[in-house]
Amino acid sequence: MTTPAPSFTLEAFHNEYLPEGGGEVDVIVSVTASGLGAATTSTDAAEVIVIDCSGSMGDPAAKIAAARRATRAAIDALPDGVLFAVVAGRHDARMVFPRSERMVVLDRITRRQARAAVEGLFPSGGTAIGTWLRLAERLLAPHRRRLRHAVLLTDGRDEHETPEDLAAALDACDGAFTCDARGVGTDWVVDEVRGIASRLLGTADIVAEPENLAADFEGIVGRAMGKGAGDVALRVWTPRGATVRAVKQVSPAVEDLTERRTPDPAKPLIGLYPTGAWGDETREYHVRVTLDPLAAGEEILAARVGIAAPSVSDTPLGETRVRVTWTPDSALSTRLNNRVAHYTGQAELAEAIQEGLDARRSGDVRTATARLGRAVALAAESGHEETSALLERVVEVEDPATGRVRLRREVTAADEMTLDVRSSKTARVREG
Amino acid sequence: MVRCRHGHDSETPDFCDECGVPIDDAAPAAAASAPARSSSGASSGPVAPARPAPPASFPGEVCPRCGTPRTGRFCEEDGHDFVVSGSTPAPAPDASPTPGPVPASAPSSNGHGWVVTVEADRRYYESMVAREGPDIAAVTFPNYYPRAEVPLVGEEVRVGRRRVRGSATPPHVDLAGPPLDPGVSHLHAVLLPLPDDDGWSVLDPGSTNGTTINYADEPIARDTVVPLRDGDRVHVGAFTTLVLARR
Repeated sequence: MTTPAPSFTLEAFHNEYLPEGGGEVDVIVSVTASGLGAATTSTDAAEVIVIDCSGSMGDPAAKIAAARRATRAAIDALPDGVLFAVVAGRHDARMVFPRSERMVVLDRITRRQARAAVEGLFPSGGTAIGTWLRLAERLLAPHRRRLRHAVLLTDGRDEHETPEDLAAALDACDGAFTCDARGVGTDWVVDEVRGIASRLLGTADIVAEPENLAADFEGIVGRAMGKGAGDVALRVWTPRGATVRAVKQVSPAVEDLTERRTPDPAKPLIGLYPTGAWGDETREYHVRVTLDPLAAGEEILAARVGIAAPSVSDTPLGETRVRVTWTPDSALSTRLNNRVAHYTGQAELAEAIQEGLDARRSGDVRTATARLGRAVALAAESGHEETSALLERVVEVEDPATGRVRLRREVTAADEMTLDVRSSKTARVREG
Repeated sequence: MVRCRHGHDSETPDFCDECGVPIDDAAPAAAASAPARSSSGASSGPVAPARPAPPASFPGEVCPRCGTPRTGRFCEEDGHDFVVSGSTPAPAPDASPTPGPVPASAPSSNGHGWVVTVEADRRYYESMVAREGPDIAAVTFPNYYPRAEVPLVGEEVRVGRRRVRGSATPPHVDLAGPPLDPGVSHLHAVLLPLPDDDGWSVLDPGSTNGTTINYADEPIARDTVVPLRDGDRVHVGAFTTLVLARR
């Protein structure tokens, strides 16, 4: 049986006409990976499972019991050959399996030992997530496996260290592994969990009910093992004198990468933006470039966007060109590309939700109503049904077209946090 | 390797990997060191028939370092930055401009020598305190502020606070301090020459805390060109003030 070679296909969507004197180019680049699912074998992967064992995990006791079940489900979802470890997170970080600070290869025997060791996850102590991440980094960094991944579970605020400690730990972990982060219950802080996942190029989500943890963990580990390429970067060339104003993932979720540029050492006009690990999937990016305006009729290449995936190929994979022409015809230059418009709206939707919820928490009813109303209108207009449904649990919608809403008086913490943590998920552009 | 019409060697055969212009089939790299333009003999040869000459907005200007005619902000040959002096890749003797062609940054390019003086303005700061400006309580007026004079040249003079990280070009008037004025945005305001060498104007592209002029109560409208006169005071941030003067 032959397996398809790994490949990335890129396509650019933009208005290729600029007005005279104008220089701002907005482009949506759609990146589709294929042949990657088959590229993974279990000996390419390393996985660390980090479980919150602070005292609050025992209240109610169902929480720690659910965490143990979820950890066993994750271990069961890992194939033989994967390097793995289980860590208990408290005000410090402790090895649960193996007992010493190292990783072991999963096989029939270590799997049984690990399942038994999970009973040792016991709630006592505090919460210092930075120390948990640093232990995961020490475990994963020595192994040059293609995929280095952690799954992290917390149920509370990161209160036994400073925000600076957590930020410094994230700096140390950046590039060492990717991490999916989950909050269980409703006593954790959305910004903390989102910040961890965002920096470590993973996903963040809420698992409000402990009994749903096992299924969620099984899904996370399954998806992580389906990624055939790690350390993939978006490669953006722009001409000398141009400025890359923004590079943002806009699908499946909004993730700003602008500040994460590293220049290509050999070619300073090329910037690399980290995108983590990829399976067979499609992601879309919004790139904004400003150019020095040229005369009408001049054509120039505003950007060349490709993929660098050193774990599967030494040479850049896939490429799309963003060409622009200056024109005096304003009928051409003022056209807004569909896809650019759609994702600009989706990014505004995410922002409107987060600002609206912030205002609601600080008691600013007027701002909260206005921002969440705007979010309702944007979600309706773009057909984002999932977000529309989540918004309706926080506001009463009187008219979705104009965004006229009233704040609901009684909103459960779980509904509010679910809306918050999922606010950055975007709807795909509707074809046709 | 191919060569573009601006004379860059390009590894990519379709568009120049330096300046992005389309590469003409008629100008293969084998044309050695001569620019592609001259290989056709006639001055309006087949190399770039329909293309207008490089935009004529810099008539007669040449790079002060290598003499190449200016076509944009950066010299096509050696990357010299015509707008921000001193940002060229190699050190350039700045105190001794070539006696020949006038470099773009000569103060005479806008008729007269206009300058802004950057200072900390106590009266403006106190008016912000009196109006309880955003977070003003957290900002103290600096006991020492180095006065700086910046000549106004070029097509725009950006005013703001340099980003600590990131590759954005630093503003021409960099207010990163010390002392730091936390009310200044990364790109706070832009000074723009008025047509006919008739002085300068200011535009606020959307700063967080706004830009005011001559102790006014209301900030100027966003994204609007506001002409300035000799002696006008432009306030940005919590105390920083730019005073415009003709020299």
